[in-house]
Amino acid sequence: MRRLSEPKVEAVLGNVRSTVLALLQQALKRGEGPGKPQSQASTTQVHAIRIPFAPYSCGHSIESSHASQTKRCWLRSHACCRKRCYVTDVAHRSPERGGRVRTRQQVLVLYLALPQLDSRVVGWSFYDGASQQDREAHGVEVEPPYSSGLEALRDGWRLIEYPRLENPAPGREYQVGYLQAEFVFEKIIDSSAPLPVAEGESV
Amino acid sequence: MVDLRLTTSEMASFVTQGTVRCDEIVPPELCARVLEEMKGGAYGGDIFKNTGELLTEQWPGSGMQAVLQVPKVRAVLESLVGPDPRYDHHAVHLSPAGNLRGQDIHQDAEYDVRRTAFDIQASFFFHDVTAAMGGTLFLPGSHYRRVRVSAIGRYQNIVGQEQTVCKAGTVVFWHHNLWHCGRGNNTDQTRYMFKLRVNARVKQERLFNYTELPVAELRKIFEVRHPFSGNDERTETLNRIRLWRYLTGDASWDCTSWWSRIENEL
Repeated sequence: MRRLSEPKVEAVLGNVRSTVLALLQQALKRGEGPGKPQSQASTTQVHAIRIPFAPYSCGHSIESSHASQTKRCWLRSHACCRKRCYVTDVAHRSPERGGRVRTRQQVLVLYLALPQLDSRVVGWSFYDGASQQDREAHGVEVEPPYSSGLEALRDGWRLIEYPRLENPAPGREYQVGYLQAEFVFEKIIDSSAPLPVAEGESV
Repeated sequence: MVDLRLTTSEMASFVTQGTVRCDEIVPPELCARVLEEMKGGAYGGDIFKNTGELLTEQWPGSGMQAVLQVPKVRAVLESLVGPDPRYDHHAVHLSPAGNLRGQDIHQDAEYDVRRTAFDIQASFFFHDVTAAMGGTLFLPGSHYRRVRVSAIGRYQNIVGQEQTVCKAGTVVFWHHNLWHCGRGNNTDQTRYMFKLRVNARVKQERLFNYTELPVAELRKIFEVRHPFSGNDERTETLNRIRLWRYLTGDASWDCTSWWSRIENEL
């Protein structure tokens, strides 16, 4: 038997390690992770109720729970009209990712005219944990996403902060300042789901 | 000679809205001149270098000094801060083409806790500003609100916000505490705006073209409800009447007894 020198042994072991690693990565891409047979990936795909695409003002199409209305999707911005579409239920698991759900939080802050949930919206902000895009300029949108906080609840947003009622400090009864009725909502979404945008369209 | 100063109803509108907008009051040739000067950096450098000097001493021989002599510009400034105001500072605001981010809404002067007297900021637009160019956005009626500079940036959108879309030569004069921001520029052209701040050197009392107006007419102006006011609607009206008393020198002026009914404590 021919003896290999020490450097040559190291080189052979290095090649073996690279090959095994490449094979493992390919298997993972196919959804064949350890302890997970290939068939399981397809059986665990959970698709939400498919909702008809609603036309958007820019010509794009989006998925919405309000098929009768033009809604906005805050997952991504439309580059052409710089407005956002608002998607409500994107809860299907991505087969391309082996059926794993990658959840992210979306936060919607509504400022209402009065400190009760069914009061009208007078201001709003949105933060998207699923988006990699920088936030656009403030003051871009003209119409509130909902007419009231209650309407947001009915559309699936979960209320996580309710404003306290506070009297003005003595002597400051005639001083106005910040918008008072700040309600914070959240949605947990599957950020691994493909974007519900019509084929051929860009976002 | 025509008195170009603000009328009583225009001044009352300023009290409620916090802005006076004058469209196309700077002649086109002067707009072009100042625009070239701005592009050439004529108004750069330390913008607070001459703070405290008279406005008439600034930029001698320049296009901007000529703009300040435009009769309507002079008359509106005189209506708001008197005939010979003090220069505070200025800034050339520039929004590059494709700068979509813009500014967050903010208030400039949280340190200014005066209840009645006010400074004036003027935004001069020397070229046409389309909606896509993202001209300055104001929230009319927000000038009574005491907030801390950029803290209001958490409000991404507020019902009632108004973005400036205008022709060249337009000037917006506004209360120093008005909430505002420059918006994103979604065009391939750079957007310019010249901002100027001035201080009154006199008491701001009847500096405008004052005439008696029926209380009912002023009441319509002072009881305007801004969409974002919510529970503060009536407090906003009380603040407007207090400012009107200061501006007219009539310490007992009132409508529908907003203040009168609560001023009889002995």
